[in-house]
Amino acid sequence: MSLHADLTVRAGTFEVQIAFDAPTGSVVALLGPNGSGKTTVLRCLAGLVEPAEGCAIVDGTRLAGPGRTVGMMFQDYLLFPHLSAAENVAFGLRCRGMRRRDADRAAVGWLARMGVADRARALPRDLSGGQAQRVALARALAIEPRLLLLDEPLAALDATTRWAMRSELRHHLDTFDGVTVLVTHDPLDALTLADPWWCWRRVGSRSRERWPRSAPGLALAMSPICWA
Amino acid sequence: MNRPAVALASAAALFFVLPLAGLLGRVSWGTLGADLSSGAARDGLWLSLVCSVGATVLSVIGGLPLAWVLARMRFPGRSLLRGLALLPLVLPPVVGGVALLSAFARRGFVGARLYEWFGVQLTFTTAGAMLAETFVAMPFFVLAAEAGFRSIDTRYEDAAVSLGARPFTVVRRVTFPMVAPSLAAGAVLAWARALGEFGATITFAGNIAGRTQTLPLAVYLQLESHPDVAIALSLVLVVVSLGVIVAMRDRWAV
Repeated sequence: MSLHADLTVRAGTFEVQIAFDAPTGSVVALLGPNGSGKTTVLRCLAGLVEPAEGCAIVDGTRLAGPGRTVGMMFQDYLLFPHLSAAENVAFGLRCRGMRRRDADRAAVGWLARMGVADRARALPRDLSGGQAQRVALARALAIEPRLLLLDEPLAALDATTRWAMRSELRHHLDTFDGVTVLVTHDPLDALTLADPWWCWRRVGSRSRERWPRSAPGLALAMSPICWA
Repeated sequence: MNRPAVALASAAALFFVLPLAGLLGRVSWGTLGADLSSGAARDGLWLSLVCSVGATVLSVIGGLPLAWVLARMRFPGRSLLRGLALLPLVLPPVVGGVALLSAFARRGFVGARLYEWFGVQLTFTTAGAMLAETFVAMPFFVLAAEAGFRSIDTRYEDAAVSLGARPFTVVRRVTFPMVAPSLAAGAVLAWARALGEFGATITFAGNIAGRTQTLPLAVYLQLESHPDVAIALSLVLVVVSLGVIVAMRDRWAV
């Protein structure tokens, strides 16, 4: 399992370039300020937007459109408000033609792994922030993707929950054997969750964003480039 | 500042309450059952039910795609299309009836073809009454449905797509359940409007007992000859309207 990405994505007049390779089991963080095009890149990897140029290749197969290889956890989770936690997790399995009962059993299993089996029948509006995050992660993992995309996974949580969830998320990412690409504006998230990471920075004119290079560890988190 | 406001508000409230109180005062409760089961009343009740439900179904069938296009697609002339679709909200119903006549009457440019090719005549038929009610009722459904489609965050649909849902599955399992309350509210409003329709119906479909004489028409006609029947039928319409208000209170109450 590996991910090779070389993409140019356009959204209006806004253009983002990115190129990186990630080996099996790695966690890549895209770190940068709000509005720098991180989410646009993630939506492109998820197959929700077509790249203007280039492509992403997972295990030698070119990603085209939404497919079974990519699971995405959205910012503010976007759990379907009319479906219970278990139905949310079962959604992707049902879309793959799994029978209702089997999908439900698998969904409850995933919720148990996340430690929220007791909330399986609860609606999203009755879940706490931390519980919603666990259900959203279960929903993304239930389709057994080879590429996991996390959009600001901790931004919707309050400060105290965030600490606990960060280490919990780290644990789940350690056991995930595909590639994880995570987007965050918080250097601490990138530092604790990701292995190597890349920093978003402005290149050229204001409407052009480029993903220039990779840089190792703490030195980058400390460098002003992260906050540019 | 509050005291004069309360006084004026009371006067305004009385303005709504007094006519209803007057109507209740004139109901002859003893003969209410007999009045409502008289021939004209029974026909009117049944016909109104058939026509208003039919008009609601037609409003949903036509209004759903219209609301979707207005809410989700960008194209030149969209504002114009919305204006046209909502025009019957402010157009005097009689004018709507005249407009329908000029298109769908036997000599109208559509009606003539319908009669020539299919032998179908809409004027002075129950189908015509249904069509007239649809004309005035559909905008209520379009308005509510479009607002519903606009109010949902389209990223939920992205989430469904990312989980592997095909377009039809996205609509069936995510979009539709999320807008269902708006659609239901729109359908109820459209039905209530269709039930009370008078001007377009009498102009386009005429006033034929048992075929096009719906409740409001019956009320108007019976007021001269059988005032008790007219008032009994009015009471039915008041009760139904109150029921709609009560059912929709959660959507309007702040």
